[in-house]
Amino acid sequence: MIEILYIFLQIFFFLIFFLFPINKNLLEKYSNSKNVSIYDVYIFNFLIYSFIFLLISFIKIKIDILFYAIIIIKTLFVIYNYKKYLRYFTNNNDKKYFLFFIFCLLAISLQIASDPKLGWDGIAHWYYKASNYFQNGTYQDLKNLPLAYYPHLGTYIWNIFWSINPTGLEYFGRIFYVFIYVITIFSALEKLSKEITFNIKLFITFILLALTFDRFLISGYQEYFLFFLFYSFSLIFNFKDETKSKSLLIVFFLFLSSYLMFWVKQEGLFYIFILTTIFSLFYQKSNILKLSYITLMVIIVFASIKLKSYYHGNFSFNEPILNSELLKYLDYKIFLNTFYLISQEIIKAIIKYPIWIIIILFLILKLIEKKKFINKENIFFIIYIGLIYCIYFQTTMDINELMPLTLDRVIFHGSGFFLIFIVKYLNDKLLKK
Amino acid sequence: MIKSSGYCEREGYGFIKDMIQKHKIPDNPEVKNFSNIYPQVYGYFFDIKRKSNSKYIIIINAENNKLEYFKKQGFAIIENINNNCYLLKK
Repeated sequence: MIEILYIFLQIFFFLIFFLFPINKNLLEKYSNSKNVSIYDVYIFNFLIYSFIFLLISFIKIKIDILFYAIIIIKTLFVIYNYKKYLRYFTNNNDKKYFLFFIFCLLAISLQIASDPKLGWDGIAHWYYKASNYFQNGTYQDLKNLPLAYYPHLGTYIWNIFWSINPTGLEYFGRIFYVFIYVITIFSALEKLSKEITFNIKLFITFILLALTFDRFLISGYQEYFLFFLFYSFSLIFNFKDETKSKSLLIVFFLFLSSYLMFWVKQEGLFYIFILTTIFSLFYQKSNILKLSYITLMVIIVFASIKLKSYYHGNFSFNEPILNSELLKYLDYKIFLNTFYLISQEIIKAIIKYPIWIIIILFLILKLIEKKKFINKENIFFIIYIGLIYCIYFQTTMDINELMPLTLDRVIFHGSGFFLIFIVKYLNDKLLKK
Repeated sequence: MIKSSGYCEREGYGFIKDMIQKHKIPDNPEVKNFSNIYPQVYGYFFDIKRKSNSKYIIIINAENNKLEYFKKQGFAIIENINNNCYLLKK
């Protein structure tokens, strides 16, 4: 019973803590949009705090007391300005939807509490890092742990919310993955047209949750963090597309949602490349801005690699990117066989995460209807799937063993990018009728 | 945790926890789970302030030939449950 109460408390912490410093007014002002929801506010604030957490993760500092002080101040501020916050909900349905949002947070969090066991990678790779910080270890101490070169941001945030909970139980830290997953889904669905009835919206929410929720992914994995960051990028891009906002703040958040990937998982470095390509191709602004964005991204990623090398001696992946094994693909039979195996596994992954069936279906339908091939969704899809082929062509490991364990999760990350696309397509179709 | 990760089966969570407490193992013991199906759950007990210690080895899902190897290395069996979980000491 006490654990259930603490779960309520933990969720209350999330709801209050990530309500600042960006608020609805500020976001509306800079994005020029009138379609900003409380879930968008949470997303922008989570991005800011993730960046702050990333910075302090390199310093030996415990922020528990500071965190409580912030929570108390913020709670008082919300109580004092409650009328202002009620403006986040324009009608009763918005309030009901927010209650449903809290219900989903609770339901999934209770699921973790009922079986707090960590998954394979959760305990074998990621838990060590969270535990290191929980035990007052530093970034430098990570080098003594298994797979030190794995990025640490997700585990650092895991440690923060583990540390601030009075029970000291590890799984309370993992509830933040639930929070970012649920705000992602609700933020996307708040983009459904207001003309769509509440019941249909609720129905679509159930469907989207069913298509994207995987109990396994909240057992210490970083996949929902990447899913969230992909979604954040497309959400911010969508703000810009809809409102033609010229705000540099929006560009800053686009930059942030890409860059943070570097510190979440190794694949993040390649995802930065994909998202920077999407930015440079589809961000309709001056070339100088695009060039500055790309240059800054290259400099910061390079500096981050140097920083990792400084602390851990070197910067490495699971295996070297270029290896002599690649020459075997000069034999077209080996090439075709590998291509077939990867394709087969991609199809299995799409069936496992059926959100991809919807994505592919909508992409095809849109292509048939609009007859326009060059858009950011199609280009993202091609580069993303291409990247997956490259990863498994490149590896020297036995792909028959490796792919069933990893490929489905890699496929899942990218689905976050398409949530806005799905919702916009649904808006088009449902309103036509 | 024991319910989901097992005592002396699966990940052997309960056995590892008991051994560390019962024998007051001062440093981080080496834990080996010889089953490829389950992950190593040693991380749950890892203490960054303690040194890694090869004086103690905890074995889960033991295989005879590997157990023999440790015996030849000078390890003695301190605890044995169902010939599946062992605590060895040098």
